[in-house]
Amino acid sequence: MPTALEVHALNKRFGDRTVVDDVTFSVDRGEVFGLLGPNGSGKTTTIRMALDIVRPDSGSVVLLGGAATRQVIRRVGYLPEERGLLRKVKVLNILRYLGRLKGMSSAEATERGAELLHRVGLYEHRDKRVETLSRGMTQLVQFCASLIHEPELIILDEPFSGLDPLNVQLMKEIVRDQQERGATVIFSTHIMSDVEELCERVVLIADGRLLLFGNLNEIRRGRGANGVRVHAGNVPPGLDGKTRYTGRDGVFEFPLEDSVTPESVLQGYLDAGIAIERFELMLPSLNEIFIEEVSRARQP
Amino acid sequence: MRGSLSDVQVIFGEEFRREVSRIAYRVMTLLVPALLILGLVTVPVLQGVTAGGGGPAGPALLGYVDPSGVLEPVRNTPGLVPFGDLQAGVNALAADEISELFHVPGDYIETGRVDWYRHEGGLFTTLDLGQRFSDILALAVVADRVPPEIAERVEMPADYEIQEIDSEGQLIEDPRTAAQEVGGFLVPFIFAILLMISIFTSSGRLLQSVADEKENRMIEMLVTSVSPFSMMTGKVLALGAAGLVQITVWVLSALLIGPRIMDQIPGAGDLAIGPGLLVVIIAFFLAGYFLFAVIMAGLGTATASAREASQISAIVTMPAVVPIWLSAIIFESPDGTLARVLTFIPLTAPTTVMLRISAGEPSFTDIAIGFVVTMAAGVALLWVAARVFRAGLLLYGQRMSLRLVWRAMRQAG
Repeated sequence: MPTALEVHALNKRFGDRTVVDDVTFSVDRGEVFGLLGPNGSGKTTTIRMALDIVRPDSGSVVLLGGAATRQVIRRVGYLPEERGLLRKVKVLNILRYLGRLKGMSSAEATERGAELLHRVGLYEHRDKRVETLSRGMTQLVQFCASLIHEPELIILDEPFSGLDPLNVQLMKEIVRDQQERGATVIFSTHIMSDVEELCERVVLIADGRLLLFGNLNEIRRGRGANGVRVHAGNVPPGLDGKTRYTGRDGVFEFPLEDSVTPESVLQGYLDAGIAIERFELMLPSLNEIFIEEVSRARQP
Repeated sequence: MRGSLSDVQVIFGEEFRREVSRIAYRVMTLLVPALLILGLVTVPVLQGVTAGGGGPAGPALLGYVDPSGVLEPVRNTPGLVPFGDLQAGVNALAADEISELFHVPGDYIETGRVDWYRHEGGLFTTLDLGQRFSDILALAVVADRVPPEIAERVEMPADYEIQEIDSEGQLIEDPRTAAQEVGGFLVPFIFAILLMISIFTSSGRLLQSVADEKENRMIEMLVTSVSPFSMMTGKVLALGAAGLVQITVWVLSALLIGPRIMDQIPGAGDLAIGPGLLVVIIAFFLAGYFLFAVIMAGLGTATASAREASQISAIVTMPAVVPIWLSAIIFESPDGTLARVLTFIPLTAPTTVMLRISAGEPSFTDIAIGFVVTMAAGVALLWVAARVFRAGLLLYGQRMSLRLVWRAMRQAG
């Protein structure tokens, strides 16, 4: 499988602090990839090294099949975490300018900019100065700027922070559109539900070190079930007191422990003669894995 | 894929368009022509006001009452108005029929006393009229006592004709008149000031532009599209071009309107700007701008905010003002050691050369050396600034330490 990005043994220190410590992972072409980690974990520095904004102390980067030269980086769309646009410039003008810097003609950039503004519902604001827009709207304009040249690889650093749920939904739809177009999308975040919704594969970094890398479902399965969820009319007498409150009528969750196994729960229902509508093993959520992994990594 | 030349073109176009569409830029550019037009309109009016003083409009008439009879030989002098008695003269003065009234008493020859009657508050505008009456009196006193040619010398003791020699003691043919001297001093001096303003404005705008992009967090998007070097080159060229347009408008308006203003002032010199001076002005604008621009771009990225950058830039631009502070010494000795040393120091060269041209005729070698050192310093600092730019642009909200600057310079590209 050709890769969109490969980073190998990346290291970066700022002063006495190691920000990225021997990080290696790769992103396949055409996938939506999650770069996860708590705040200050080294995600942004890793992205900056991938795009040659910051030079690594050691390690290598292969971007879109080659060295991260200016020409190659041009084929990437980047929404940085540190966001902002020139405040005095009109919305469509700034998109045209950024498009032209990516190698588009003025007419192409204007047309594509207008198209994207339509898509995010900001076309009416095209002739307004950036300073008149709300923070969320400015973020959408910058999102458009990262997509204007139809990049092969799109890197979104904390793209949903500060956006209302409607705009988050809109951005997610556009991310899926981009994937359908054939683009690779890497997005960095610490919001696990977004990752579960969008990504097939993830890498988890904390304190500069790589903790997890791989297919999201495989990672969850690899952790094993941590409970059983049963849709039924009641709880068998022998399992009373072993359930976790779910807030939903007829749904009972049984966290696994030494005396509670999937087999014992099923046997309890069969013995009690209670009809089961649905019986499933509960895999750990990404959020749980995240907290567990990061906490373990930070233990002295 | 395009090369970095196209990147520079795109950045140049955008930055230039953005700069020239700024209201402050347009106001500043049109300020000089507007002031010149204002001068063109107001000079004739002011001429009328100052010539008349507090007295009647038109040529000044000097009234006199002469009980001594001393003025008898010159009574037909144009502009002199005799009165039989003092009261009649005072009435005429009060009625603005004359500008001044002089009473020459009977014992004038013994005492030299003359009573001068005038409107209150007219001291500064009528002193020359007092001198004129004094000259007439001098002629009148000797008129009947010496031969006419002596009387003529008394009236005009010296008709100066200035002979100028060059540094080798050779007489200069067709030396400049005093008025031309003033024009020759004033034009380069005004341009030294304008040059400085334009250099500081343009390079200050560059600092603002870089600091704004850094402060607005846009720079990270830009550097994934273009190299820091292309970005800086585009900006430096665009704001330099905008500054050049500005100074061209100033020079053209001075060329077109300046001479017309001078025509309005009797005896004023010719404000013509020679082609040599034009070349020097443009060359030193470009060299000076280039040098200060790269310094400003470096500062813009190395400091935490646009505000802090502009504070630090004030320190950096101070050397360009030093020659103005020392202008008295430079004017006194335009080819002296101080003037020459300041010509050879990059940051002071542009202003010093302008001042030296105001005060004398510096040698071509000095001007050329001044230009070369300024350009060379600009190129060297461009190398430093491009590296600082790259290292500094991501230090949001942080100051760049000298250690970081040094490290940035050591890391190639």
